[in-house]
Amino acid sequence: MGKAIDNWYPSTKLMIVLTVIIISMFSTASIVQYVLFGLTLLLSVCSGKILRFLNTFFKSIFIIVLFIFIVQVFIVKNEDSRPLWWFISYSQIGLDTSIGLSSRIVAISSVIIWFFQVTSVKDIVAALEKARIPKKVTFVISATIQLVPQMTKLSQTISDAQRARGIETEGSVLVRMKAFIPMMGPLVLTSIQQTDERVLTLEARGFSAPLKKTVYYSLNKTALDYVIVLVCLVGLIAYFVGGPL
Amino acid sequence: MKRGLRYDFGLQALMLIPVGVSLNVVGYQLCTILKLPVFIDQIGTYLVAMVAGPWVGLMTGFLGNVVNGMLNPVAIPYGLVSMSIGLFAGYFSRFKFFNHLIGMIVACGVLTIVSAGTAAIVTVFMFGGITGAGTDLVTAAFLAAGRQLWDSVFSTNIITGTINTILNFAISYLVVKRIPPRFLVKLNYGAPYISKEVLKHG
Repeated sequence: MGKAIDNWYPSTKLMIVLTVIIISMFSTASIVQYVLFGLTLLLSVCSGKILRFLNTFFKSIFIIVLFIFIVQVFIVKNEDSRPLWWFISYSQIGLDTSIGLSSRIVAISSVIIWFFQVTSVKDIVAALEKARIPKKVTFVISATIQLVPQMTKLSQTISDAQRARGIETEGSVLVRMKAFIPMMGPLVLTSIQQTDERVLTLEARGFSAPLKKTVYYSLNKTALDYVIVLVCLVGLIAYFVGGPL
Repeated sequence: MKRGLRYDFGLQALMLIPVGVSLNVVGYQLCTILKLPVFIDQIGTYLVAMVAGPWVGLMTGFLGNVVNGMLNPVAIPYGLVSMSIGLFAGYFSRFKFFNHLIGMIVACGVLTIVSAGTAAIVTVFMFGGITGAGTDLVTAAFLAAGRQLWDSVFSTNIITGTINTILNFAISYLVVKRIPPRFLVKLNYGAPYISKEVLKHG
């Protein structure tokens, strides 16, 4: 089952994401958004990524939702605020606002987390290429995602090397601040040198040639993809015709 | 040299986008390693915007936040802030604001206000005034002092943003000054950063 969801066409998954985002943007009853959140949970259980999903969710979204509740309920001054202690007061309006806000954030961001966990960048890029997006755009996207871990590694090497040369990385804020430039400088200069080489390499392989290129890796839509997209569309139409909740 | 949306995305400038994005990520990681109290996570955006122009800078800011958003979707709406930084820094570079001290001060002021404004808009509309970071304490203090939500969020962003903008800009400016001229000449907006000495000998 897990593999099955991974193999859905990226645009199919994107359609699910868009449906969830549109519905949760327009609906005012927070129950709708919690149902959508439940659906996302179900989807990630089906894709076998539930543990990773919950891990990411609690690290990013949960904290922000918690803060929203604390600030809106206890600190923002509303008409019905009842003082509890010093500057802390309880307000019902604040509670309602925070439920409205946070349910939307939870629904939208959880579906985005799910999307990036079940879709590999390779698939996204392949789908974009198939949709006739210019090669330049797709190349920049895939290069960015590949370069980030490489640069992280390079920066670790550089900071180890600089430490071996006696750069101080402990001490007062000013001392640590000063360590920043000798770590950043070589990184930028090295990467710019690499850019030069990369441009030459690409040009030598005919990257800018105005021809249609063949691809090694291709994706195909299956019948299931069309069914899912259709279900999403029907759901959206039914939602707007039936009157937004 | 022709400049503008259609001419800026040459292959050389295009290859700078991934570099800029990864510099943003690495800058942020270095800040956490060195335990600095500021967020130096826009160096790449400033750098690319300065040497490759406003539109490439805008793309760098946007892509950087999308990459971060893969792990933490909260970062995606803040792409608006990075995009505006890239756009404004690029235009300031185009009109040679970064060649003299007064221009730099003006540019830093405008960039602070722009980034604080966009950050406040995103924070208030999307998250009800909360970012989930330590700066929320400042916002909460303003709120407790009886200020309005908008006012508090904007003031917080101005306070924390000023120092961030200046540091991000200063570091990227120092780094740009060190980029070899043979690379700068290939970029549409790199010419102002080549030192006069080099040009004289040429």
